[in-house]
Amino acid sequence: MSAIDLLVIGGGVAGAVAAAVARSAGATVVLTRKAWGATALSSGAVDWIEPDPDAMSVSGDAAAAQEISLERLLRERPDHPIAILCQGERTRARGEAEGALEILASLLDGGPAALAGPLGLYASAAGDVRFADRVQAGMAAGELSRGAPGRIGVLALPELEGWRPRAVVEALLQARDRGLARGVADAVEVPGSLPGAPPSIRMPDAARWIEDHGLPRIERPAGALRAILVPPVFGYRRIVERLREGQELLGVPIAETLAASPSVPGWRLQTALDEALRDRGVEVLFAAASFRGDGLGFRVGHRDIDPRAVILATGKFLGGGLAREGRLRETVFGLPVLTGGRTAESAGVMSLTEASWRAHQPLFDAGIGVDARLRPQGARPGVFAAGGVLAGWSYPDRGCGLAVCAITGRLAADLAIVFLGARVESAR
Amino acid sequence: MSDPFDVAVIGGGVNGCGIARDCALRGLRTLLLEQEDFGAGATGGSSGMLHGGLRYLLHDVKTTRKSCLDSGYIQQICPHLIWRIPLLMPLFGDGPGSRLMTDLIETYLEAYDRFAVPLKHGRPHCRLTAEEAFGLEPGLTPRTRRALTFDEWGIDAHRLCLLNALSAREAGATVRNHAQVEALRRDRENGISRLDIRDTLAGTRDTALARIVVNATGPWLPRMAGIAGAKLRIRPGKGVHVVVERRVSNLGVVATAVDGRQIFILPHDNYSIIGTTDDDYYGDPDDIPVTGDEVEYLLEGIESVIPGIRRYRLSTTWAAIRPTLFEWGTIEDALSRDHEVIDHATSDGVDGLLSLVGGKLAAYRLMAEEATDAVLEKLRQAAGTGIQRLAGANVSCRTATLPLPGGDLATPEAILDAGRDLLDRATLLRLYARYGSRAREVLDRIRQDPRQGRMLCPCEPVLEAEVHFAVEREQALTLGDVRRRTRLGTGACQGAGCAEAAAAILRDRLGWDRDTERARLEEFHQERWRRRRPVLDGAALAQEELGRGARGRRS
Repeated sequence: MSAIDLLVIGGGVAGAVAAAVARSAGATVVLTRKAWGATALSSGAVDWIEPDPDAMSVSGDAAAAQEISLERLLRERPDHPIAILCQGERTRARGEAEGALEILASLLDGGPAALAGPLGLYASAAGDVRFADRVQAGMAAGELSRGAPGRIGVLALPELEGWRPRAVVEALLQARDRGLARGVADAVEVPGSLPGAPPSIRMPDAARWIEDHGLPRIERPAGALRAILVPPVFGYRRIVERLREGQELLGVPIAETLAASPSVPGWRLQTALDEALRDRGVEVLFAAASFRGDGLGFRVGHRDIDPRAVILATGKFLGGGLAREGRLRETVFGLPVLTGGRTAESAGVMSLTEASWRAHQPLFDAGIGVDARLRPQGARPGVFAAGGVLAGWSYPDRGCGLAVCAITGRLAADLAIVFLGARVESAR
Repeated sequence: MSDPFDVAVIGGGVNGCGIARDCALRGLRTLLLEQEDFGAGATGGSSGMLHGGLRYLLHDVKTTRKSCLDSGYIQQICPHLIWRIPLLMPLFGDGPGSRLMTDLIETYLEAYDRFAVPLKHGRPHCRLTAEEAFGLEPGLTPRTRRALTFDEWGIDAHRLCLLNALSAREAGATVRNHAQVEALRRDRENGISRLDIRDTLAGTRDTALARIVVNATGPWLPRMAGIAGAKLRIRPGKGVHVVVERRVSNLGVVATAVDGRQIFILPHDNYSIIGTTDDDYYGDPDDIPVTGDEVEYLLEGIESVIPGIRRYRLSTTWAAIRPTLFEWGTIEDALSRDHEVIDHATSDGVDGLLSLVGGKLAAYRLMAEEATDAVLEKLRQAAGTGIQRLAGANVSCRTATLPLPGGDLATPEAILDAGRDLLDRATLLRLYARYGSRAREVLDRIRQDPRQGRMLCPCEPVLEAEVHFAVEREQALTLGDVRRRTRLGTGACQGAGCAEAAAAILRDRLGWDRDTERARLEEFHQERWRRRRPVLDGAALAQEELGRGARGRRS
């Protein structure tokens, strides 16, 4: 029996923020995960609500457009975690978001995945543009909605698999034409190559190549450029250094785009979180947590851990917090799984999905239900939940949403600390 | 208006393409119109097997003989498209009843051997002990007491259609995919039919004239007959297959489903398919749903012979409609699989229209020959149409012996030699399996432009050169067309990485603008989702979740 205050199951943004907050309040914390999940595959963006597109094209005020989206969310999606936690109060929701983003930023400060803000518009390797509240520092110079309009270069690396500079150029021009990307006057491809690399190289290998060998060859075009956007492969740990080298060499800010799949920025984020936790004295394990069924006892790898509180931050299908083999289930405790406010465990997959691919799919909104204190339905006292495992929201349909993980992770930790404090009180 | 075509064939399934080929080779001015893509209808949803004949042994031995004979011809004209499927039928029970049943089935197979072995070049059947059966396929249920084997042949049905269409084109036919017939009117005095055609991609319209129209539209037979002012009734039979994302076994295994029907799991390209069902269908042939019940029925049936089947990831589903001959009062499985060439002049007074109903993939060539004979007969009968040129033309059917494009190479050695310095052996074998002797043209492209040797889709595998080839030589106009020709996006990845890259190539070659590229990608993803949705489960869910997050937003 180990005297652990808090066991956090799941090591993505939700679990990491929860563990860090609990640790800074003095608790002994063990964090364990069984697999990489959505965080390790994320794009490099951290956001919580997309600014309303119609309001954006009219006013160009992203913050105001975000308020409109937030209001709509609170009104139309009462089962969204933010709606549940903030009980319909907009100012409270905004306060929570800003606070959680600050905490996440402080965890990543000074590292390769350090965050930069505020809310801005960025290009993605998926061939579109999207808003993000925070992005990794190496992406910040690629913000598209502020400042004087200029020409944006997009680096072409023909050897790089999955990188389509033409699609990015077209996305920039379309965003300009729709009034979203007011910082874009024009966009062009910038020729470049990875000399010595094989004729076809995947993104993680290209990042390894750049980390070890330095910058690719970039043919700086004539004329003024506001920035050069490059594929999100400009290194692992040395990303900031490489981008600075590029800026000095070319006299133009260089910025990575957001990533699609595979994602080097996602890997950077995940490893930076792990390091930050270890630095703060959280014990980080890589093992599945198996609930023993008695009290709050778990088998984690070859250890028995009996924490006084648990935060479930196991994510959805990617990380394995939810699974479906004929039946939908939550994989640690077997808690009831909901979607659209109703239980979804034995629902057939046809009733959980829509015929149109682009439509919102209830299946990917599935998760466990919680009350306003993040306590799951059907769980015993001392269990709290955060992040993707919660019902009512979906990072696949948004492509991000990590800020929701940070918000719920931080709150879960606060609530767990209160719970632990009360336990100590009653034990005395 | 230009000279009318002698024959317009509507429908680019295996029958339509086969008829177009035969007509063109016999010197007729031929037009082939396919509303979507060659093989996109019933043919593409078939089990991909040259089988048939086994069932008719008892009551229709002539059909058995014809099927086996024709399958033999098909093997000759496109040896690269086929692969041998040894099938294993596990048998259970220890009592005298079970042993007697085994003897009976074995006798039946012995009788079938007399056709299948000489005509279809399969191996004769075999009786196996339980140990021998487990030795061949360890995944069999432990209840197996003995087994019987027999041979069938798998075939790439999409490419079979395509090659027939290309052969027709190379013999002078006008061959159009993505061309839908919207109206069909007959000028009885002149004996000419006028077809109103819509290009479904460009949205443009044009017309064509033809002396004889052949309705070979399969599931759409009644609809097309109606457009021509004729009547036709069929028994549309829905058949569903489930695709497993990897090869479960290199043998086919036969199982009895809960309702006594025989179903099977077969090796097919790089994966396995489980099929099939047979149910009367009254819905829209353009949108055939696959239900959870059908998936469960198939899995449950295979589970009785391969208990571990549910551990495998299912990647997608196929559904198609068999255009079976109409009969009232007969259950689906018992319906005749015979074919008929219906002359609407006789059946409902509509001149110049023939409909081709029923049949099976294994005898398509024979059906096409009979239909072409009928077309020629009608052309000769037509008064005052001046078909003198036909008198001197080569009117004997050559489709049984003339190889299909690329079908003149019986084994892959020449391709392995030609590409040894360029590509690995597995990729070269796939190139042979798709293109036969024409794989040399794909290799030539790579020599001219080494970047085309890049792997676009590692699952199948598909090279960039193949996408270029599909557009340039094989009339591919959409991502779905590329999928049917090369299997792009049909593997475990379901197009996750390769669809966007293929779209970029098509965009350059076909001159698409950005909006068209996005629209074609949407179609591809929507089609992929539609077929995958009924079997989304397990690891496929995580894959789908990732894909949705990583792909571009619709903006």
